[in-house]
Amino acid sequence: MPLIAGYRKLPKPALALLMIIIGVVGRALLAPAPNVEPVLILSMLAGMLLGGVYAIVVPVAIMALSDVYFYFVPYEGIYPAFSILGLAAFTYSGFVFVSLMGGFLMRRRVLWRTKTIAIFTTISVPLTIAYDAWTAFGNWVFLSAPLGQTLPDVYGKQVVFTLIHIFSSLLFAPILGTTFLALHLHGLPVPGPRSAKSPEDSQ
Amino acid sequence: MRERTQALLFVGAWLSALALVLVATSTVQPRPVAPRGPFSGLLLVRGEGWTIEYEAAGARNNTAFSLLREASVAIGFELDWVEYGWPYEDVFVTSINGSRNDGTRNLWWQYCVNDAYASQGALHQEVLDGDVVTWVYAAPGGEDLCR
Repeated sequence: MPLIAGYRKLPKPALALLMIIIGVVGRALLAPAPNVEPVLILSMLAGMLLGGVYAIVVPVAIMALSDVYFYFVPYEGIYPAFSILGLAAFTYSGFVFVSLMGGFLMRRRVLWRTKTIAIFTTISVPLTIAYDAWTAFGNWVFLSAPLGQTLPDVYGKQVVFTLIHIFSSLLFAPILGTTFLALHLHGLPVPGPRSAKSPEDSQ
Repeated sequence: MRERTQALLFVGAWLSALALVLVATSTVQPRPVAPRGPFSGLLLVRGEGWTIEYEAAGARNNTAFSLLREASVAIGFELDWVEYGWPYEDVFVTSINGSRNDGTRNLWWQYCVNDAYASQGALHQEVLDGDVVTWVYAAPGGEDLCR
């Protein structure tokens, strides 16, 4: 018996809201594993699938909402507010950069094809490295330099975290990429007797 | 190439890439300090206008942090820290004997071993027989703090 009646198109604000919810919950739940996070991939997807103002709103909203939790619960009182705000400027701008680059590099490639996900996953690796290079610099400026550490020290210690971040991006890119590409191109499955065109029909 | 073949090839490449990155991560991950036999060392803690001295004889806690923790239990002074989990498995000392890290005054707990400023996390800094570990509450000053 058919289980899917059809697909309901999701408007951009709904897709953006879904990305923000998954980003905030995912970042909070995965916090014990540093640099394993869905935000970078969701930022790329926001730029690629939604574009425009969403390329900025989605990553900033995910970070702002989850930072409220992080800096008032587990990190409360550890770092001075100036350092947190300074570092936030680097992390937020880093994710916005990733989002804009995701939109630029994946333009005219938003198709329901394996190749789309393969290219998207591949692109996530250099963007992860660029993001980490940028935010490690911010970490040095606002947290490590005041503690007497040099920039090469910070980049040296960053290597293992960047490898983990690449693992995270490689892990989430196909999973979230396929999910949101399907939602964007075909919409949300509606349960019930089959009556409308499904993704398989478009192949 | 058919879409299904492409998808299978992609999944294979994806899983291989994930495994490769995990192997690379484990090779560059800092190694924990191996436990050793009993040793003797000296621990100095210099706060604002006070100093704590702890002579460790027959100690087995052979890292800069575990020796500090041993002293806090033996002497009975307050010690607070934040733990960093995988992959670093290290700690960030936030308070000793009531003196808490203070970003507004730029005062932080830092440590030296034998007059050399810390170059790694306190849980990865091995302490050897005869070493002098000094924890200093001061603005970051590198080697100058250790003299």
